[in-house]
Amino acid sequence: MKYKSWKKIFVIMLISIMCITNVAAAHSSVDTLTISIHTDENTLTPFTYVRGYPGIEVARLVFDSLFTLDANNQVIPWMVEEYSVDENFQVYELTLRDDLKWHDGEKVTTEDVKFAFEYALTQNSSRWRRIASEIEEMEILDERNIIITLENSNLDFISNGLADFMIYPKHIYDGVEDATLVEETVGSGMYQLLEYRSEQYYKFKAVEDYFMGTPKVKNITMPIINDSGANFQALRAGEIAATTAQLAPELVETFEGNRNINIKSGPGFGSTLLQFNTEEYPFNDSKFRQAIAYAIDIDELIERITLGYADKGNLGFYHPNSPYGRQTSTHSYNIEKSNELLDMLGFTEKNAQGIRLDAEGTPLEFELLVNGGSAPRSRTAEIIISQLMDVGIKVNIVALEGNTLDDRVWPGFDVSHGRNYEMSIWGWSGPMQLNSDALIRLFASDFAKGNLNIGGYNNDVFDDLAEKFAKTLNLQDRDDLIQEMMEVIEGEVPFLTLYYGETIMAYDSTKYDGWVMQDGMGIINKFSFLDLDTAVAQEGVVSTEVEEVSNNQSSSFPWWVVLVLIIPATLILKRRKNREDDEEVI
Amino acid sequence: MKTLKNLCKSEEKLGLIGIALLVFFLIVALLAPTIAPFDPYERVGKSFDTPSSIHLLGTNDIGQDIFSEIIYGTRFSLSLALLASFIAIVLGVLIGVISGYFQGVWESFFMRLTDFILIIPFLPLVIIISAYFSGSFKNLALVIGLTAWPSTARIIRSQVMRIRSKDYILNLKAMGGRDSYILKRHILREVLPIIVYRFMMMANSAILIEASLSFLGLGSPTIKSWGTILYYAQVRNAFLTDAWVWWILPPGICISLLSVAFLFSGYYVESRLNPKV
Repeated sequence: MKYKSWKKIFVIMLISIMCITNVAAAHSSVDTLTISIHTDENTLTPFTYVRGYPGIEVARLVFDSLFTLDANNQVIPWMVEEYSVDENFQVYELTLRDDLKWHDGEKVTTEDVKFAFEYALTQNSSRWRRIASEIEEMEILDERNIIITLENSNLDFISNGLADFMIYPKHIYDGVEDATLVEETVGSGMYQLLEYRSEQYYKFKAVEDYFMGTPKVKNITMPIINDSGANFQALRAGEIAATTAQLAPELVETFEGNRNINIKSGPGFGSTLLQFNTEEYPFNDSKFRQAIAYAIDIDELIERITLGYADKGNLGFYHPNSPYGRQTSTHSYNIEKSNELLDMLGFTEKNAQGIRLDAEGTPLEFELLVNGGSAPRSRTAEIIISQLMDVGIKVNIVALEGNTLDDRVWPGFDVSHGRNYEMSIWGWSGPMQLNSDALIRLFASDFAKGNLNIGGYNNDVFDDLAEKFAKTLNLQDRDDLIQEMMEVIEGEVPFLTLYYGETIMAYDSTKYDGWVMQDGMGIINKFSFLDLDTAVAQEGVVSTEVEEVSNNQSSSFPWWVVLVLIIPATLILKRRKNREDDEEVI
Repeated sequence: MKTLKNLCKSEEKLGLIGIALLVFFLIVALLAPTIAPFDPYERVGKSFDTPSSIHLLGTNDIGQDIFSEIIYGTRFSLSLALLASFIAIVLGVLIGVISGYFQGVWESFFMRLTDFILIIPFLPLVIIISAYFSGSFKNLALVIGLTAWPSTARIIRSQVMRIRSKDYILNLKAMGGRDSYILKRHILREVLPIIVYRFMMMANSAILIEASLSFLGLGSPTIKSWGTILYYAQVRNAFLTDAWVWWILPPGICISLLSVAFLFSGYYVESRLNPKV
């Protein structure tokens, strides 16, 4: 009897050890990881990726930039070992690391850096061209040292330019007229793209001698699964370790019940907003825009559409967690105030359907454009039209395919081409929140500066502040100017930010648990695959982990404890057995 | 002989089932405001609520009553099916009759046009057209109607050609009968059963096309149609939760039933009025 109970204990111990070993194995170096990607992002070069997310985030695993943003969106040097900036923020002297290599074995030199910026000016990519066009000249001192001189002072050139701009090899792109025709994907990043099959998959291999350390996952396979539901079905079935698709709020509860799946969530920087065409009557009147803003109950939108997984929008632009955001510019829902403003504007008469009439007797009836392919946005529009009907404004939803919507709101992606809409449900991607000049790009009436001013907003006070901002080099003064510009925008409401959906990412922790949540961006980033201090620091990120296991715990598991337990247990068992055998003989 | 009789009987039964279903859906559509417990556009419960005595089929992603949505969806699906098939039939009959009766240049022109539309895969064509227009009721009906007529035109044309060479028509012509008279009094009367049959088949297709377009997100997101209900259920991941039982099955069953109703009624009309078709 006693022997049996010892046997039981031993079996339990063995099972426990096996479990611990499995968990530990999941966290140490992983051979192959399957992560689904929810869109086909082409060959993932700086000129062929399709979307900001996930395209550019995945491309950053293959291509490096001189600087980068860490998990907390702080700028850190990356390809650069040392750097200095002159007091005018115009001359940047950079020293490259000595151990940089392209995936084909060639050394990365300052020739590549110079070429990348010059070549970007010849290509049709506004993102890279905008950064490269700020440079007046580049002087190569040797193969590691380069001096970049800007045309004008720019305090944010590192964060807005050098931390974004991906460096690509001269020996691949030199002489190629159209960069999109380059089929090879050769970068200097931590992963090398081995194979890409359109609409099927990507295969990556870790660069063993990567200058920031060997990536923790040796191979990554990324099947392209366009349907978001199918991505999560695959995750639930254990077929993939993670997905680039964000977990829909309605699935959080279901996935929280799955013991293999962990969920990480954090503030999202991508915004959903109600955009006005401020050139059209009556949207050209800030009082009318305010009246609309007061009539919209954002809390209801957040509760119904995002099930609470969103931060409330404000009257400005910046998210409170962005480096330039602040808490004071809150939006309030106030039907009385909305009605008061509309009455004050002279829209007092109503027709039989309860729609307000303007001075000429025309009903206040407008079109609200929305991307029909986005269910949350369509639903947002649906709720907004019913809320605006409560104050006597009739809105008709026009659901359009994404490209058609872009053509109406942002024809040719050039705001100087005009616009053809009254209101639209729109949004700006997360990285915009990290740009200090985002307000200027969104609201400056000079379209060369306000290249994202899709509402055609025009305000002299704002333009003066924007002018001042461009000439200010003091950080504190610039911050003050940003707040001043925000105040102007808050009073004018050129658009109304409705909400910032939270970033919710789900992954199978039994397959890999080293994920790092980058604020506002997600878990698909280079810090998820590197052992860096910067990658571990993640203050402010809410983690609703189901299992309390972490990478650090497993790697420092006290194996001696296991040995100490096993050896005496075996000895005791053996002695016990011998004694029983002896008793039987007697 | 006995088998033929049995067949006729079973077709009659099917026809009766089809007509009964059609009448049922027609009543539901007409009395939607009375039958539906809530306004389908009102947000009457919390989002993603499970079925209860208040919300028989739960609520959708923004708290609208799914049962009421389905009731009102009958109105949309039925009226769209009827309007779209009407447009397709009018066009098909017009082109088929002109081509078959007058022949010559018009026939060549219309038949090449018909060939052209027929060789383009139907659903992709409809999807492309829908993507460029907003998916309102009018636009959906027009898109379906304007792309679904060629097969009807072909059938009508061949029937008209057969009829126009019949002796009595030739006699009428010889006696000086006007084309409009012959067409109205004789040709159209003879092809009427085919028109009715084709109308039923068109309506059946229209329901499925509308559901497909709305399911793909090419319909209007605010219209309460069965396809739109399915679209939102799919994009809000009902398949990954238990919600598929009350959010996906009921509209799916409704689409199938109404489609079957038109199909059975069509077979019945075909067997009763023109067994040769």
